[in-house]
Amino acid sequence: MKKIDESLKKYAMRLRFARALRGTAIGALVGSVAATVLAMLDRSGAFYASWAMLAVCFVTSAVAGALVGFVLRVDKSTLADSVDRRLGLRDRLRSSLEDEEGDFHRAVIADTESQLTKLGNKNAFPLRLSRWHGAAILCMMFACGIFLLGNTPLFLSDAEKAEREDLKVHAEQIRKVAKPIIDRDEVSTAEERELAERLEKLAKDLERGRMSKKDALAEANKLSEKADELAKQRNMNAERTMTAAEAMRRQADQRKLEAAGLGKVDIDDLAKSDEQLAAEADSLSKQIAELEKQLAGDNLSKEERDALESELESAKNQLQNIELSQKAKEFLERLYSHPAYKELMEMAKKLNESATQGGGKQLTKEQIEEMIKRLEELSDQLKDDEDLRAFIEEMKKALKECQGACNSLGLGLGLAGLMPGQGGRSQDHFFSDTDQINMNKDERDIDAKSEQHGVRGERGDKGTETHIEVMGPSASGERTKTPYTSVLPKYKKSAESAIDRQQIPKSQQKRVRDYFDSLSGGK
Amino acid sequence: MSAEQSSQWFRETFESVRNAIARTIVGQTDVVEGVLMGLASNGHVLLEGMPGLGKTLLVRTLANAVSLRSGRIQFTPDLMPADVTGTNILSRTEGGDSRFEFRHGPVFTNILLADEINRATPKTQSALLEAMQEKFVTVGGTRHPLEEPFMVMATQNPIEQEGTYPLPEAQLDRFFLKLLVPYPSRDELAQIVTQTTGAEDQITESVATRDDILKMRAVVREVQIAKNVLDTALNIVLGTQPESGLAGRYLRYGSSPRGARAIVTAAKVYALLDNRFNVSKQDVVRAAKPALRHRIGLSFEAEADGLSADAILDKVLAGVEQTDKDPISV
Repeated sequence: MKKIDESLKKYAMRLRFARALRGTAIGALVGSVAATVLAMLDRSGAFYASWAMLAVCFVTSAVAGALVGFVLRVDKSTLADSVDRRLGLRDRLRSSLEDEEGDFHRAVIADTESQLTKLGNKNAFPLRLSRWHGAAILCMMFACGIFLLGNTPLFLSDAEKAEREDLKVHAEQIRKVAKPIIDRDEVSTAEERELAERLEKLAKDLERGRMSKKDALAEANKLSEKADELAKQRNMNAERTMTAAEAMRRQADQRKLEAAGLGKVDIDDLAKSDEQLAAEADSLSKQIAELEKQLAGDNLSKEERDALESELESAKNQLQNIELSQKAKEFLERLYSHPAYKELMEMAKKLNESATQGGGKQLTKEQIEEMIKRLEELSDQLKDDEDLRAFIEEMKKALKECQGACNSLGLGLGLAGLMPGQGGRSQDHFFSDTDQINMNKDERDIDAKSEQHGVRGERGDKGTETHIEVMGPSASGERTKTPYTSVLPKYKKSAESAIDRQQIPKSQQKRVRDYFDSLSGGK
Repeated sequence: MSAEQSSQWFRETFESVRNAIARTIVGQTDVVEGVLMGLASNGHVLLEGMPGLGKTLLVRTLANAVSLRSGRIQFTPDLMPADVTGTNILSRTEGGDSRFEFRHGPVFTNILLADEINRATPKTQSALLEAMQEKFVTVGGTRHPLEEPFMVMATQNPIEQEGTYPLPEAQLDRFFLKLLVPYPSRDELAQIVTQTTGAEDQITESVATRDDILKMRAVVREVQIAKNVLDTALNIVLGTQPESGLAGRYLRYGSSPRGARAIVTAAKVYALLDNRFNVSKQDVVRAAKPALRHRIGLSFEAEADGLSADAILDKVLAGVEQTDKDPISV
C-alpha cells in the first residue's frame, strides 16, 4: 500500500503541473478573449486600449489560470480512477483503495503494486501543449491583429501619415491643457472635469487617427463653446464674490467711521477725490455767501426770506458733510496707510478688472497663484483686523473662481490650433476647403445657404484639375462686426498683388478681378 | 490456498475444461466460455440458435468434462410438468403394503438440457421455475432438493415461432446469460464434417470434478469490485429502464436487479480469466450483453425499426460510456 500511496503522490504532483500548464492555456485564452474585446472596443473608439493593456490581460489571465490549475485539489479515488484509465490498469488502483479486507483485497494491492512497478516512470499526466494553447495563441494573434489594424500607420499613404502626425501634435497640445484639470480635482468643477475628459478623449482620437479632421473640428467647436461658457460662468461668480466682498469692506469702513464719531458721513462721498470735495466745498461756500448777501437785503417778502433761509440751511449742511467727508477720508487714509492694505486694494482692483472685463485683463494662472500666495501672507500681516481678513478670504474665493475661468479658457485655447483661422491650421489644405468649413455647427445652426461652383480649367503647367468654390457665410458663423466695405480695399489689393505675382492661374485671374469688382461696384 | 493460488487454479481449471470441450466442439468459443461461466457462477444459460449447431453435444461434453450427470428434456406442447419434475406413483412394498413413491424426473441431474423450451406450454415451463431458482422440486407437498451443482441449459429456435410459447419474463429472468449460438465459419464447418464423418467420436476426458465446480463458484465470489466499477454496472442496468432516456422509446421494460447481479458475477469471471483480482469496467461492459439481452423488453418501435436487443444494448452502453469519462482532463 505504501508504494501505491507514493505513486499517487507522484501522480498528484505531476497532475498539478499538468493542470497548471492547462490552466495557463485556458487563462491565456480567457485573457486573449478579453484582449480581443478590448481591441474591438479600441477599434470602435468606445475605449482606448494599449499594447500594455492587451499584454496585461493575456499574462494576468495566464498566470491566474496556472495558479488555479496548480492549487486545485483532487481526491485520491478520482486520481486513482484517472490513472487507471490513463495507464490501462483496468481499475486496479481504484480497487486497491477500496475499504475491503481479505486475501483477494491483499492480492489486488499486490497486483496493483506489481503493475505500477512494471510501468516504471510512465507518465499518466504528460506535460504537453493542447488545443487550449493553440486557441489562446490564435485568439491573442487575432486581438493583436485587430489592435494593430486600428493603430498601425503601416497601411496609410504618405499624406495620411503626415496628417496623422499633424493631428498628434494637436493631440499633445490638447492633452497638456486637459491633464492638469483632471488631476486637480479640488479646483476643477465637475463640468470642467467632464470637459477635460472629453478633451482627453479627443486628444486620444486625434493621436490614434480615429477621427477625421472634419469630425475633430466639429468636436473642437463644441468643446470650445463649452469652455467659453464655463469661463464666463467662472468670471461671473468671481465678479459676484468681489461685489459682495466690496460691500462687506464698505460696511466695515462705515463701522470704523461710526466708532470715530464720523457716522453721519455719506459713504459714497468717500469715493470722491480730494479735488472733487474741495471744488464742491468751494462752490457751497460761494453759494452760502451769496444767500447770506440776499438775506441781508430789506425788500424780501416773508415767503422769499423763508425759502432763502431754507436753501442756506441746506447748503450749510452739505458743506458740513463735505468737511466731515474730508475728515473721514483723512481718518481712513490714516487708518489704511499700512502698505499691506494698499497692496490689498491694488490686488482687489486687478481682480475686479479680470472678473468683469476678461480678455486682455484676464489674470494668468501664474498671476492667480502668486496672488493667492501673497494674500495668505497679507492675511498673516493683517491678523488684527477681522474685517480685512474676511475680505481677504472673499478675495481668495474670487481668485479661485478666476483660476477656474483660466482653466476653462485654457481648455478653449487648447483647441485653438484646430480652429480655422486661428494658428497654424489656417494654412492647412483641409481648412482651406470651405466645403469642410461649412460643416461647422454654427453655420448649420444659422441655416445658411451656400452656392457651389464647379470650375474646370488650366492651372499653370500642371494640367487639369477640379476644385469646388463655395460662396457662403463665414466660417465662424457669427455676424461680422466690421463693415465689409472697410476691409474690401485691403483684400482687393492683396488679390491684385497675388495676380501680379502669378500666384493665381491665368484662367482664374479674370474671375478674381470680376469678383472683387462685383463687390466694390467696379471702383 | 492464497488468493493468487485460488485465482491461478480457477484459471487453469477453466482452461482445462474449455480445452476438453474444444476437442469435441468445433468453434463456438464464446458459447463454450459463456456456458462455463454459467457453470462457474451458479447460473443457468439460455442458448438461442438454429438446430444442429451442437447444443446437445455441448451439454453432454460439458457434463463429461466436469464429471457431472446430465439430462435432456425435449420440450413439446404435450409435455406435462410431471414429465419434468417427476411424480408420485403407487408402489407395493415387499410386505404387500401400498404407498406412494416419488419417481424422480429428468430435472434431477446436474446439467439439464431443456431443448426447445419455448415449445412447451407455460405450465410446463413454469415447472422449471422452482428448480432453477430454489434448487428444489415440490411434488405432492414434498420438497425434493436438487443435487448441486445444478444448471439448466435451455435452447430455443429463433426462427420457427409457430406453435411456440415464448418464455415469460419471470422465466427469462432466471437465466444468468443468454448466449447466441452462431453458425460456424467455413473452416469450422469443414472441421465438423471431417470430425463427424470420420473415426468414431472421441470420448471427452474428465478434467474436473463436482467439487471443483463448487470451489470455482466460491472463488468467483471473492473477486473485488470497486465502487466506481459497480456504479458502471448499475448505470448500465438503470440505462435499460425506459425512463432512463438512453434508449427509452425502444424499451417496454428494463432489466431486473438480477441483471445487475448477473453482470457483476460474469464480470468477476472475466477478471479471473484475465489474471486479475478485481473487476474492471471493461469486464462489466463485456458481460452486459449476454447478461441483459433476455432481460429487456423491446417496444413496438424497436420491432418496427428492426432493432435487436443487442442493438439497443449497444445504445445503452454507448450512453453510459459517454457519461463515464475520465474525471480529470488535462
